Amino acid sequence: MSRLSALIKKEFFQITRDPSSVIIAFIMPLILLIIYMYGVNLDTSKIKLGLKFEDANPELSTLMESFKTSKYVKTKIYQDRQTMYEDLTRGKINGFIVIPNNFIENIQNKKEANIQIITDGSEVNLSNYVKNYPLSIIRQWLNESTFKYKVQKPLIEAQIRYWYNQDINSHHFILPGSLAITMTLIGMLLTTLVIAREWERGTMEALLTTHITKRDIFLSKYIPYFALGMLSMAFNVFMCVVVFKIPFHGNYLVLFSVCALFLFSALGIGLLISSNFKDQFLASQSALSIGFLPALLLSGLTFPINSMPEILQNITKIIPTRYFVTFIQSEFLAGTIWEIVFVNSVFLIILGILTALAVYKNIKTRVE
Amino acid sequence: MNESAIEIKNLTYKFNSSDSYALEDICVEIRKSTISGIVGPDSAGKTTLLRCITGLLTPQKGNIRTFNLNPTKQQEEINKILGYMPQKFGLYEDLSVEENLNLYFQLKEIPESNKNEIFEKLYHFTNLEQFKKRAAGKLSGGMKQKLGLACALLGKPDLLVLDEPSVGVDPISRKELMKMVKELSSCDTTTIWSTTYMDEAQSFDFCIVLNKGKIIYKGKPFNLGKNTKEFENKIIKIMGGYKEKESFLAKDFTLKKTDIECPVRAIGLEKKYGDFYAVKNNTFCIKKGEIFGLLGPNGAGKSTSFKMMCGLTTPSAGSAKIMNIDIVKNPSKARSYIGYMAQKFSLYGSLDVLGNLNFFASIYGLEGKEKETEIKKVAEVFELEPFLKQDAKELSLGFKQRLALACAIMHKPPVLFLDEPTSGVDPIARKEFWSHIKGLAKKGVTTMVTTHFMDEAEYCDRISLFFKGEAIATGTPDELQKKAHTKNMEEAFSVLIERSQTK
Repeated sequence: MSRLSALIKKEFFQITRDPSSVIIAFIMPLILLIIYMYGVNLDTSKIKLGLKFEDANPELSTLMESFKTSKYVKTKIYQDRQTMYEDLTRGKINGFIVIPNNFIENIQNKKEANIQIITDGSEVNLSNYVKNYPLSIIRQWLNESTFKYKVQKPLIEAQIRYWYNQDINSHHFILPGSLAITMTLIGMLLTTLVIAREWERGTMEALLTTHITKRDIFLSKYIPYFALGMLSMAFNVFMCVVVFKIPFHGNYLVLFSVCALFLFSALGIGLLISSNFKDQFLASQSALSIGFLPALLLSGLTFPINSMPEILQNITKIIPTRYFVTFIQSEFLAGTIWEIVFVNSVFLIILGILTALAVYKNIKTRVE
Repeated sequence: MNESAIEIKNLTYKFNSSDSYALEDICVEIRKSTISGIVGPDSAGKTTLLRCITGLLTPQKGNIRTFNLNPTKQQEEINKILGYMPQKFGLYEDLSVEENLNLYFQLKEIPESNKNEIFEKLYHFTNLEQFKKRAAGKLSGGMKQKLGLACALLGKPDLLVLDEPSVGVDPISRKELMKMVKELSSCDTTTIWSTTYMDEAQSFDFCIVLNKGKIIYKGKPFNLGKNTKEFENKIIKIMGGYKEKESFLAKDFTLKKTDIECPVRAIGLEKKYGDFYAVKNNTFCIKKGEIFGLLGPNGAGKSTSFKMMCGLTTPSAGSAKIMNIDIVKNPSKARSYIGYMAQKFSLYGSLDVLGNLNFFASIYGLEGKEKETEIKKVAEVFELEPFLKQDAKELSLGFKQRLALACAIMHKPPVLFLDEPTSGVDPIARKEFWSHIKGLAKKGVTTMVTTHFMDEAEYCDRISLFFKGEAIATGTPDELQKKAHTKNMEEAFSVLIERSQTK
């Protein structure tokens, strides 16, 4: 026991004296959170829209007003089509709408009234908004205008509510998800260096000739970095909930318990990489490419897993971050759902045990 | 006769990545309570042999009994009686001296009750008491070695295995280290000490001389020679002998004619870090065709002087001139006259030999036909032809050194800077190396060299002895020996340093 505590103490000394571990555990997550908070935004709050009225009917002034007061679009009125086309090409506007001649007349005559919407197809997400926002503005205008009696009531009216994220604020699911990515990075980066470093500096050789056992090495690498990881998680959650005001509907005990399971498997992957290299540089490079990148791309945070090809979908099953992303998003947005907690935990436990076994097998007590 | 501590029969070890044997058919017996030396150049198999004895490596063939234990199966039992110091000392650089000692104290499960007494004794012998709180990474090389040894000595091991504890250390520190081993280990301790220094082998009870994985001599060192020179000459003879011959390289070497008398000059060179002088008021002038040696313990300021001379560090005061060109004011012009061989052979490990030659030829400005002929010539002279397609990192140390020298002289520089060029290579390679340097000097190449091999000092025309940042004596080897009233350089070195300290 005293051997193990001596080793753990040593590990903590190294952590506190080496600024890079503190940077990895606290500064880097902070930077990532800030980037995700202020840099990444999947909602487009204001799209830039061109407007061209070919109908000079005075009734249209109220429509123009509706566009101008809308909080979703920023409109610019064009007099001729040519400059409007050019502005679209230059990216000054994201799309434009043309209200053709006799638009009002057609409505008054209960005829079909057309409008033309042109969007910039090179930005698919944005063009969806360009399509949807003006339509809803026009529909609303129509319902409030003097023509509202002319409009046939639709037979079916859809009542849409966004549950779990009523304001459809993408931060509410990106930030918790990014926590999972951050924790992956921490779990792997912190640990990939620690065994490789001992080999590189020749300290492993000295350790192996003391009374130390394989179990001592194994535990002395898991325990300190597990503690540091949990501390970093607490810091991250604090930043999300208190500073960035992301609503949390779940249970903190559940959150940290599952996080513990996740860290267990992430550290396992990091240590597995580390135990296979005797060179810190190689170890950290491979941690990024075989550990972090798949976690970022295949965890379901950036690209939905359902839309991946089947092979990739199967690969995601061995990526612990996938389970953690699923869990943490539902824990934040929808609260504790025991089925989700249970299923993801089981997978994390399985992965954690498998990697731990592999790490244990891979720790060498000889030099070769 | 004592009973045997280690018995090795037909030991053979081969690395997976290599075609040749690291150790081949080793048979040897080491007696208890002796100090044995494993002597040999780098990559002779010394470390591999030590690792097999301690169980850190499992040999493919052969039998080892270490204190009647089988290292392959009983590694844990061996660890209970073992004190081991690996080549990089095995210290945690972020941990303080005290924390390092504490860690190894606990890992060796020594009863806490004696702790204070043991630590006090170790601090006393290592003189590390005052540096207790200092991080191990911030100690000087000599102090690191002492601390590493102290960690290995914890728990009074029956078997003390030291892997090149004295590499790169000056003669004074080496003597101190040997003294520590003798006084701190109990008289029953069996010590195995590997080294590249021939003179160290002299002081052991028993020595095993390894070369290319084979034992070329085992027995009492005294039987081989009464002093280092005799010993070394015998070893060279066993290795196949060395014939003094004119350096083929120097034969075809021609320099542009110059009238400059002192191609290398240092004028009041100084380097200050905070209030600490790494180098203090260093003035010297190296004449054309002279071999000038900088000698001194680690941290004496040799390397710093060296770096200032080639413009890698800016001096705090003073200046250096290469072929009358100020290195600070016009570094690239001055450097074009220098052929530089760095301490660790700055070669590109993952480039093959030919790639390295090509690269260095190009950056030194050789082109076309000239480049081709030069590369062909150096490859021939240094016998690098069979290895042209091999990665530089896979070469043995001796060949790395040859390649580094080849890269440094292809552009025929009038000035040659060599930083510890021969540490770790076998005696024959060293002799060969010096024959090239001597030959080049005859052709007018001015050479500045750092070394801590005292016998090599005698190859130098003039020596500057460095201590604590100052040149405490300068002169020909004979002059220095006369000044110190001694008969060899090593003693002269110790005497002159002691004299300067008492001043």
